[in-house]
Amino acid sequence: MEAVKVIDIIGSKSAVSPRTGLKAYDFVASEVNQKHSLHISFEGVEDLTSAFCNSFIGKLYMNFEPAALNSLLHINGVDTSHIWYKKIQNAILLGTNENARTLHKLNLEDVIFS
Amino acid sequence: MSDKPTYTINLREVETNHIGVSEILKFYAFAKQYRYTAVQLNISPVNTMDANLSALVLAIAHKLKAENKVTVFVILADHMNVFFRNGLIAHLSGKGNANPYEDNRQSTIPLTSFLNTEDESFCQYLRRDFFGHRGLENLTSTTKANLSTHFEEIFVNVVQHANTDYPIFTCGQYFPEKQMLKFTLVDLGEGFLKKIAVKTEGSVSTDNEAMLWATYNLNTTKDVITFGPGGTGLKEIKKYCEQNNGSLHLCSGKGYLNLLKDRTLEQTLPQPLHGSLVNLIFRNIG
Repeated sequence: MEAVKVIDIIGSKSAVSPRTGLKAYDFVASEVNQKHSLHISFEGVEDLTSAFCNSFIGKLYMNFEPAALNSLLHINGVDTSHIWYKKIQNAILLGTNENARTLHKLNLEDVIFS
Repeated sequence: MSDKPTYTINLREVETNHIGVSEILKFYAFAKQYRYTAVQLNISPVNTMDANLSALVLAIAHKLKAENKVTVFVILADHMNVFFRNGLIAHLSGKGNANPYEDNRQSTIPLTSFLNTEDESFCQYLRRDFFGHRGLENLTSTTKANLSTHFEEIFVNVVQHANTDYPIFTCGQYFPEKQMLKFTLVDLGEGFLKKIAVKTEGSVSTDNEAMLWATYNLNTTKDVITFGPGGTGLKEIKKYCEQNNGSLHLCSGKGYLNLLKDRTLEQTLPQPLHGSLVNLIFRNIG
């Protein structure tokens, strides 16, 4: 299956702000809701922040069952030794961790976007 | 000199430290008593002023214009052409980021203001003007890429947490004879204390404590869950400075921290900064 590039989804090589992260989230969430399998590639991205990852990937893992998401969504284009890989993993961690809401006593959306 | 209200800086050197920042904040305290007029910042008696502090000068000028309808003019000595080359004079003249004065010495990283929505422009500025500067040509591409992402985290964090529509102001200055590059980033938001005091339920209660909290939390898995990811920019830049003989200074409210490798120097400023400031000093970059 051909990968969909993040830069094509958001229309930019800068994956920096939460609002562009939400743009990516909306695209992938629509596909996942239809049970479509898809590969998302970070190839071509020049800038990536935790805020983007949280509002995109973190929110996916918060709103969808992780096991189901893992079977449909495949992320590539980031070397595991790259600093960006850690940002993506942290976003997944935050999105899947139910304790985040309790520990913060805050709306989880606020945590994701903190 | 005209009859405009004038604040004269009487330091011999205005450097990137709590003394230099304090002096510029004293100018703000002086100027904010006026409305619907012009005030002058006279730095002509100064021998040298770190030109990266133009970011703070412009931030103050912007705030005075917006809140007091006060226009700031700067009085310079003849040798202070750096403030033309880095864009301060252009900004104060209303030209914004479009600086008509060439930096023929290639020693400045342009004074630039960024709106909250201009994250892409900020990334391009980092790539082209900051990490593309001749002063940092000896950094490896990996180091540049990593530092760039840390700065981007800071920018996004400021946009998310400063809770302000004011722009973010940045400026850098290269000192080739010292093999040093200094960079200043300023926002006019809420500062560190307000949100961190809430987040810690009051256990953090001063500006310096809040900045320490923001930079000393470990980045373990537990802390990602506890404190949330993101906001790692300052911590990572602090780590880089510790490893490379650099300096990271933070200023917010009346607090000023100089984060050294083995200790932190804390100062309480006589006049507050209504916002936050990051001073970064790279050394031995030749």
